[in-house]
Amino acid sequence: MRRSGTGKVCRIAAVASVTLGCYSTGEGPEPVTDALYFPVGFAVSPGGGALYVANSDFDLQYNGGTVEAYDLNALRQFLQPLWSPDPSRSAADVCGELGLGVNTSPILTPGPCGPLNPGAPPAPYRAMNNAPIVRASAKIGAFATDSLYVCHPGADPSAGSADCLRGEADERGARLFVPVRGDPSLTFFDVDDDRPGPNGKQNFLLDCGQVSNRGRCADSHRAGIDANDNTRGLTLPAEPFGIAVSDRADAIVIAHQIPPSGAVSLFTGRGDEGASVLDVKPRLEFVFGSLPGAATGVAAVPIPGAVLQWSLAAANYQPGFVVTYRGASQADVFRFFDDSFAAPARPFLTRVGYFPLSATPSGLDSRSIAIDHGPSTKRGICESACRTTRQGCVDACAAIAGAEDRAACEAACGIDVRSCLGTCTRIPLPVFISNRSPPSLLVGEVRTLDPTGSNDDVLIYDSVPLAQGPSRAVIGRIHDRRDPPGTFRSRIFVVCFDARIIFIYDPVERRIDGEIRTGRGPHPLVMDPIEPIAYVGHFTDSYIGVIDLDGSHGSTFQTIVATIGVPVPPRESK
Amino acid sequence: MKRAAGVFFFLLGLAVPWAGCSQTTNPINIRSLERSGKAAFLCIRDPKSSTPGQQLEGCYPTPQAYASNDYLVPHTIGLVTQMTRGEVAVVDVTAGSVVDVDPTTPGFNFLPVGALPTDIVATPGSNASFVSIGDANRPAIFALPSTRLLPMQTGGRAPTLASWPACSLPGVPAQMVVVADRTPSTEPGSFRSHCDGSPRRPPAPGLDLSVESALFGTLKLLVMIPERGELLLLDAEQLLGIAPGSFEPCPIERTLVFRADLPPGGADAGGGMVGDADDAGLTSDGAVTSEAGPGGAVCSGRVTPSAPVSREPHPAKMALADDGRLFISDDQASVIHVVDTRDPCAMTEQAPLLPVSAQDPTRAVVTGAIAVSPLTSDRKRFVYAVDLKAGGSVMVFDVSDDSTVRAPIKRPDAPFNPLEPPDRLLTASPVQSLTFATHDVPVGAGDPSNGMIERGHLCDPTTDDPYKPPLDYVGAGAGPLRLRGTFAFLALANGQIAVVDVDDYDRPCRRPKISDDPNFGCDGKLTIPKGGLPSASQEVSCRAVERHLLRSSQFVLNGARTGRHAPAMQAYPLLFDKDGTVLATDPARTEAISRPRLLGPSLADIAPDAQPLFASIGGVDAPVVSEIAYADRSSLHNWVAFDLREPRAHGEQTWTITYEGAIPWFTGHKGRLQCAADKTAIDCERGADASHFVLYDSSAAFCDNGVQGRDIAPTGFTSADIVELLDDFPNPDDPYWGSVADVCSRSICEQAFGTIDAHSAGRDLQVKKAYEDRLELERSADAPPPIGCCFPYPVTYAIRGGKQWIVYGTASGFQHHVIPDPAAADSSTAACVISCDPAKELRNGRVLGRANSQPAPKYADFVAPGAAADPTLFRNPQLRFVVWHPTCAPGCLLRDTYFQFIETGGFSAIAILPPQNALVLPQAIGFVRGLQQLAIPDAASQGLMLFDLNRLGTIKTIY
Repeated sequence: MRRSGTGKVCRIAAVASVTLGCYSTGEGPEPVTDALYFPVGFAVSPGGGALYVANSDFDLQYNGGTVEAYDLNALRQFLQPLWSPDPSRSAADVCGELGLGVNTSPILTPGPCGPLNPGAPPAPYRAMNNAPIVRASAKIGAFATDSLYVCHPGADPSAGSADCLRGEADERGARLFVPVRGDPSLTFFDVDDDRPGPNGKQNFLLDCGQVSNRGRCADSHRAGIDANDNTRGLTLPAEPFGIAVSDRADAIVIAHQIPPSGAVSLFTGRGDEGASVLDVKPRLEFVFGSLPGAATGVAAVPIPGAVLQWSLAAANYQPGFVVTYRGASQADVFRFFDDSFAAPARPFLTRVGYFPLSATPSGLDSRSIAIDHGPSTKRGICESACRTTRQGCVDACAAIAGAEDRAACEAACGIDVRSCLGTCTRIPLPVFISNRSPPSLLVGEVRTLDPTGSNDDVLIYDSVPLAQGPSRAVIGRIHDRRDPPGTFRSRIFVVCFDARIIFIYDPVERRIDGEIRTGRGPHPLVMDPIEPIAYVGHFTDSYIGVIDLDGSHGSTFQTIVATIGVPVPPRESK
Repeated sequence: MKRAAGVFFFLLGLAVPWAGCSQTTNPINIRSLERSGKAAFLCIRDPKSSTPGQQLEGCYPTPQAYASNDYLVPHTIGLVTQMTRGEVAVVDVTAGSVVDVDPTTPGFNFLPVGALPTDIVATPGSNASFVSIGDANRPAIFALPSTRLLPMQTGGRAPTLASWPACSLPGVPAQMVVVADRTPSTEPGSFRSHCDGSPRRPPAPGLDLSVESALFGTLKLLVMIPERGELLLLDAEQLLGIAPGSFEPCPIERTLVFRADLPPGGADAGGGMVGDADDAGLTSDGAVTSEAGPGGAVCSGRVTPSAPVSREPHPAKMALADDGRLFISDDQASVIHVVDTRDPCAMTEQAPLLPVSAQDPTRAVVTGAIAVSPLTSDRKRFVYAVDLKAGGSVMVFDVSDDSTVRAPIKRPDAPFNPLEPPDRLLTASPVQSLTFATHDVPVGAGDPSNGMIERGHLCDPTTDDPYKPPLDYVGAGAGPLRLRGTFAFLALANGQIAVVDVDDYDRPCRRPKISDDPNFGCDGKLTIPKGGLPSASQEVSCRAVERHLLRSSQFVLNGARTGRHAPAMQAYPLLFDKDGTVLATDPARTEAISRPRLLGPSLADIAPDAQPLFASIGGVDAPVVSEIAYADRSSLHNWVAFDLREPRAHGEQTWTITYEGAIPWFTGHKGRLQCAADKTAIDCERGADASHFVLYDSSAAFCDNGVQGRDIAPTGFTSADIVELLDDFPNPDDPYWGSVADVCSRSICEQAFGTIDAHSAGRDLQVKKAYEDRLELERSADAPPPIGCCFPYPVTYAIRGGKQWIVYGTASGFQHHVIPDPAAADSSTAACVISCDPAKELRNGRVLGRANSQPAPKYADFVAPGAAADPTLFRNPQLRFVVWHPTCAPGCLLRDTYFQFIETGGFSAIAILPPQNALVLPQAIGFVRGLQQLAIPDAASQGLMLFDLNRLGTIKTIY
């Protein structure tokens, strides 16, 4: 009888958890640097030039994991006949032309074509682009859990924040942060910032000091490993899992899945050398333990525009983070104190509120949390409207669906900018939590009670049923067939690891409006910043699925259309 | 013998290895249903007939299951959408099993329809069903004739997508309802077939709805398309007649485009509410009103501009009333649409209902699940709608013929129940779906003349009514778990079902027996006969059953058979010192004279036989009156009196009354001490230009959590709140000390402020004025070293009530009515003021000690706070008491001395749990006529759950 791959993975996980403390970076063969191996974290550069993949070496076949930078522009271009298909042509013909062949195992690895092997791309790819697909790589510890691309927020707070959704490219580049469980650390990479602007570039920089360290990230790029780096004598606790960065990039919070009472740790960059985690090697400053459960998801609460307009210090504002747990049915709000008035400053976190996940019968096993923010959200539209004329403001507010939020936006028009921004703060931010007990997407809001106060409530009011094993909740987008090309609508994607389904939730219509059948063990998911495409990592069989999210494609919409990386089943089930 | 033993051991040796392999196998329940969505029910009389269905009333619960091919009795068939697989599962409720529609294929096979089914409805005669499909690229309706559902009808041939009549829609449908067009046609005795007057085309056998149409009228489907804000009218029989396998656009007879800007109409357009008198002091033009508050302090009302007008409708859910009105909630516009569908071909939108929030009139309320009640015994009709963004709470609208109010009904008792908003029904978890059901449990024999059994009998407490509560509270009769009347059933997101009283026929008998006193929540109009009301339940409040409120799971009384469900003290309150050591207050002991007492009021103004109900104690019996003195401070025990007007204000909790107690909310908070003047913290309070500190903590919400500065402390509160600094000083090896060596040192700080374990008074800073984000503090004692030197880092602090008692209940919390000044431009930084909202007037958590020289107050003396209120008389919605201060030297009362007792009993609402407490995600709730059961599709694990209204529990889960 053939055993399920999921079962194998669970057993591997059990072994891995036992052997965790025994991990050494000096044993085993060197990891392959042009292939995927139990991918866990995806990130894309905001300009769409690079896809960063964190591989976890989950079965410890190698002496560490890797982080790879894929040439996303080349991949996008090469695979265009698949994600933007010509309906008059058969998929088999297209697969043949691309040199991929026809997929012989569409159940295990959905998609019409065979895989694109990054280590040995087919001739048509080489004819198009002679450079390798994996343009850079570095070795890290085993069991990476996530990845986070962080931009310099820019001097003008209203022009951009660490989430890279706005603003121009910064000449100092950007950073990629990867929490690593094997050698508990926050490993970080200096990478290129390919946002628009004179400083935008994409040369596939992926620097963690590996050049002078035999390809492995140097200690200079692994934070949290030296107790002497901070005034509290701390090292990073075990089981780092989720990661989030504050809007101003002055704090990174990592959730730790330590059973039974987890922890959250705080990294900051404040100091003589700079003000953000991009300017210096981030310092582990504080660990908040004895939490109600193993912490899993963490998301930064966006700073209201009114606060940014005023300045954080003057507004007496402390950035917030929302944390979810595996063993507790609640979401907690933590606030970051930079302690800048003290000498020496010793930044810390406080837990200022906890909010029950009452919209579900249990809510005990939350995995991921996402707060929808950015310029296209209702609050984002409102805040942008504040900086226009009164009529322009009213016109801009009309784009907001929902009476309550649109009314709040319109009420803000015609008054001074600061008051206007304060009124916009009344518009709540949608929040989504993936939960496994029972499998559901919890839908709610983060409400900021006072315009400039550090007072946020997390209210969950709906639960949307899903299939088994929800893991990541990702805020993404699709192209609706009724809209002009190049326009997008917001959607929430929830990856269900066990059920091999990605559910697509429409937050406006408040319903599931699509399901994507994947291969085994889907986990990391990231949106392409340019085209209506998404990339899903298949943890179990170690490859990337390319998803068509263009509703005008009748036959391929919401399906996997291409495979990057040769699927490799877990060793035990080979 | 040896040989036999050898054989035995040989066999044993063989068996041993196998013993380890033997296992106890646990049966695994195979679940064939997967992510169930919505359900529709049919009553199938004869599957072989061309019109196999009949009305649901024709099906009934059977004592035993009948096989799915045994139609000796009609079968109730449930059709349940499967959201992941794009199928409709067929569930034979009468057989208690899932039907495999294709026995030739392994596993359970269902009816394939399009992807993402969103709703399913059936015709009233059960001859057809319709499934709406939410596939964004292929929105559609599939028609399922009841002649092709079961294997015995299809010969076991597996249905395919092309087996069904189907048509495409212009947008994604969310919900459907079946309506009947009873407009007469030109042909006598028949109804109009189509809106354009075209004649009916007789369909093929098995697709004919004429049997139903003759009875109900021409059947139409109303299909809601939220993304287009439209309601489409389609002819049901015409849909059935579409050629299977085709996928043409649906024949739409009429389209209604919803509007959200309808002229208000009616005198109540501004959102008039029942009990508007409660809004005294509030205006609708955005102005703020002020009035003298308690003790002369100024209180303020909230700014109450009208809720914003919305323009873009986005219908969410529908509910059809039996008078032909269709109520449609809207999750983006703050209206509830009302459509007259009596003539579906000429359906028109009427003036909408106006969902508003009394607590926050500026909020535009959007709605989700909705249901409309049948007519009640007093000819009332109500719409229940879920306020999506307020915890999934429920609003109630009176839509009776004589109603002119279009805003939610507001409870007149709001001040007495601070735990719920005045115009919302609050549940433990958001309401996912709701429905109404009318149910009766007739008793006695029928009328001997005609055999008729009376239904809808209203219990009369003044007579010996046959429906009266049982004397032993166990047998048959009126009680919490017997449902007679009309009730609302709320499917909560946590999987529970809540029950709401709408028209309980037994309500008149659920009340006190011996009194009609308003202090029991009664009208005070009823003359009580000697010996009491013969059919009363003896509950302690007339509000045990209340329309539009959650139904109690227990009799609200204390009794040997019922248990303790009326408010009671578990034991007499005890006095403790700060370390938890009990301090005797027995007046016979000499040390007690210097200790405070916690006593209820004199109950001289309450009827003697009712007095014990206000101070119930321990066990199930009334207090021993000789042990507590209702009017005498020499009472043997401490005690409190309960307010019995609203049982829902009470719950099991521990009450703590602490002298200079800390307000619990602020536990663990950290703040930053900053000099009010432009000076360093160290120099702040020093020099000729000495200033004072301000404590900043923008996450504390000082006003919302009840902090009172000196400016708003009522008369008699001689002292404002106190900020107590809790932190230790920096570590001795902290480099900080070297930088301030000329000002302070750790040892000097310890001398001045005490250690972390033994605080000195220097750590106390009085609150001069409180703001939402900060506290302006009084200048501390001018003693070296300065606070700013000893506490250089953000400080952990406590906020205490100065020279007063802080009242805290573990369920009620610390109650107060302090708010940020609504007139301030930025509420984040607004000053704290006292609210004028009368709904909050009983939210009290502070009381001053009463001098022994003052007279003992009576129960009625405890008026609501205001200019006339005595701050030494404590009253909140649950309790009334006085803390008598001893005659002793100043300072004899120590901080953190506290009284504590446990309140038992109180209100507990019915919560029907899913089977085995399974984790369920209810997707809908509906009342299945005939079966008289509630049906709930569960998207998690239970498939289809059926709840019995007689047992108030699950009787069947089919998955």
